[in-house]
Amino acid sequence: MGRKTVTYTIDKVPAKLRWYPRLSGWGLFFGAIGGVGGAIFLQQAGVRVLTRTLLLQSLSAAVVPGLIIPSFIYFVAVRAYNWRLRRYLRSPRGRAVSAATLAATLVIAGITLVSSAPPAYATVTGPCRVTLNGINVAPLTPTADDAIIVDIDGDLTGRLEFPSEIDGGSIDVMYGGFAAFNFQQWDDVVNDEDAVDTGGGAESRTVQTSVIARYAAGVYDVYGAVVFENGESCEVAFAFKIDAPPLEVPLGQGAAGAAALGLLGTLGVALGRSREGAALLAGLDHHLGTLPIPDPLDDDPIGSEREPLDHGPVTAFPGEEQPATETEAPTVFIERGATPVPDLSFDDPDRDDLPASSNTEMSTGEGDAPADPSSLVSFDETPVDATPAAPVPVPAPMSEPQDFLGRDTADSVASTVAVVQQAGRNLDTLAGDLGVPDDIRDSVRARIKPAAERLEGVKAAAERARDAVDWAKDIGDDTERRLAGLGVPQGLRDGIVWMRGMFGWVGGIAEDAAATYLAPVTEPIGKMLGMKPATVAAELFPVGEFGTQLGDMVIKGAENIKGGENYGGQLGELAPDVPGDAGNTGLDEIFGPNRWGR
Amino acid sequence: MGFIEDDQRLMAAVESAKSPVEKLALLAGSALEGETAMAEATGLERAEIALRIAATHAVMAVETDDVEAAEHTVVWAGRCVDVARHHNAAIVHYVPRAAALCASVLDHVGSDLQAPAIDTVRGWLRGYARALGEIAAKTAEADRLALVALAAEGVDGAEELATVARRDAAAAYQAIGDFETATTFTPFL
Repeated sequence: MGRKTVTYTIDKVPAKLRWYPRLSGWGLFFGAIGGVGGAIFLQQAGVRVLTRTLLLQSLSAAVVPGLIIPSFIYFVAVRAYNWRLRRYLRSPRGRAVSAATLAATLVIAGITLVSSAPPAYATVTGPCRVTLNGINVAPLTPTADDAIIVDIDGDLTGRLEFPSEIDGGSIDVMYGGFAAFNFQQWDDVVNDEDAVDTGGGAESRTVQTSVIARYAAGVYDVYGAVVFENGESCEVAFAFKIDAPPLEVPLGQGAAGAAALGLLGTLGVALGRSREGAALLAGLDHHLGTLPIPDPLDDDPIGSEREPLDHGPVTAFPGEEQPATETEAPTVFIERGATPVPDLSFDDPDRDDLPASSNTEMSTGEGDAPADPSSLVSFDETPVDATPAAPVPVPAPMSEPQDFLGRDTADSVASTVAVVQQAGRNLDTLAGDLGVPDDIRDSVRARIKPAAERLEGVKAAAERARDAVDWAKDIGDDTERRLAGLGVPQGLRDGIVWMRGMFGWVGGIAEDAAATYLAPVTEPIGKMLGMKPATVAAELFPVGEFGTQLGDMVIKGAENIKGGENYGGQLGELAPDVPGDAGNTGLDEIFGPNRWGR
Repeated sequence: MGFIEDDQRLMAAVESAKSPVEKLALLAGSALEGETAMAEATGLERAEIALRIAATHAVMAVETDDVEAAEHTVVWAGRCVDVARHHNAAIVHYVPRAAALCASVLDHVGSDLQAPAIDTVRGWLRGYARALGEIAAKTAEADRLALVALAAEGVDGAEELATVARRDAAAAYQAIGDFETATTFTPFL
């Protein structure tokens, strides 16, 4: 199986995976090594004669780690993947094509593995008599069971008794179906010169077993074929076994090593593929956790959001790699000079230099008199809904804040753990108030962590309904997703996305000024995330790299604002007695007060 | 039809306008309509209207490179913030948008006004950061209640617990202006 990578794009539901047989190059390699090594070791141990059939069978063992294991593991992973996807989409089960295809693959592979039975050829055919070390081979089959045992330090003495002059032929020690050692050879050209049959007889030849046993042991088959002047012929096949421990000869040692290597490689392939499958499922689970829960009443709740797989990685913030256009005129940043610059923080203690007006008094038209400081309200009014706030849950501090955007997974986990623990305390309180039995409370507690994933989906769905980040979808998605993974509250995420867009504009003025400009925001964000404010600015608002097109961003921002819901109207029900604007923006003295009516 | 309903369709109308003059006419007419609506509106809806008017002027400023439209953008954004500052949820929602609109027209305002405008918006952001901390804390509290509600779903014997947690979570989300999330918990009450 080639590596299967699925890249998830934000807010998109991936398509079902389709199973197909997977090949592993390493699996084939290790399978072949292991199979051949095992077969040779069996031969060296005297268990099997290494015939061509056995050699082919051992090579076909490569399909186990090379095809069967990857395909089966991928089959399991695909089933689990599609099951999770079906459960998420609440869609009916698809056709079981995968199972049938898998079965067919396994059958084919199995046939390959066990195909071809060993050939059954007669031991001696024709008018000959053959002995090895004095043992008549005629009743013996060329198998390990019938092999003639020879001593490792002894001799191999073969004797052929024939009825007519030998015209030609040879007797060879075979290995893997190939002639590996020639025991005896008769040249028919020489014998044909006289064309006279000199009659029958016998020939013997002796070789030392050590010629073979220096490097190898085990059982070998011998095959010979001889043609005689009288037109007859003989064929002989038998086996002999060099009686020596396989691990004491180099070939046996090598075979054992190869078999072990093949086994380990097979296990490695299985483990590797299992991990890939698990990663595939984990990636899907994580991704689905960030998506909204689809509406079960909708026939195709998010069909339009489907996307093809393998479309490449999610890119970095769009625009980051785009150099600023040279044609864009540099904007001049004007340092504070003689112009009075009020600090307009809502709670700034130095606000006394600000204009202040009555909060409830509303001007009514253009051309009102310039602001009278005595008629303006102060800026540190407490918002109507302001109450002492509980401490903001802070994710685990980051040891390497500069790697902020690359650490979202670990930080997400830390954040989730903290939230789950805190929710457990809320559960205790509520359950105590309601008198819920302990066993039921424990059952609920066990479900809090899975519920955290569901809640993220619920909130993501709500967020989509709201017009939070649509205006700058391209830049917003990635930021939004990463911040959500960190457990950053929605309001902050929303604000950061807008700030990112804003920095695309204001960043063109001057980088230092822009960094200063956002300091009031980067400080609390940094406190919340355990980062230095400067790092927040650098990570979330990379001024020099942003390169957005000014006009387009304005239009998108305006489209978002105008296309959005009447949020103020909704809030009005919560705070019906909020006073009207009263010139407290600090802008009146700059641009002139009440020029557009109040 | 009210101003906000008209405004929600404005950009589509501008997009389909046949000429720049027609575009500007639509935008200017919308701004005037917004000013009228602003005079009649009450409460936090004034922040919504002011922001929309600011956005209209921002579009005009960019389309025409008009200094006056840019200044109108800043001032109307300021009026939006001036209303929103009375409610934390409104601050969190409106200040980034208003600040973004201001930033978007900085190139178009007079050079002598850029620095004070930036400093003004910076003051807004300080208030925004404070409100954000409070909203974040309340959001976390609402999330915890929601977790209990979701976890209690389907647990035999925990029906009352689920109902109470849902109700509390919905109320908590509503209190911080997260109406959509609140709605997902409300129907089950």
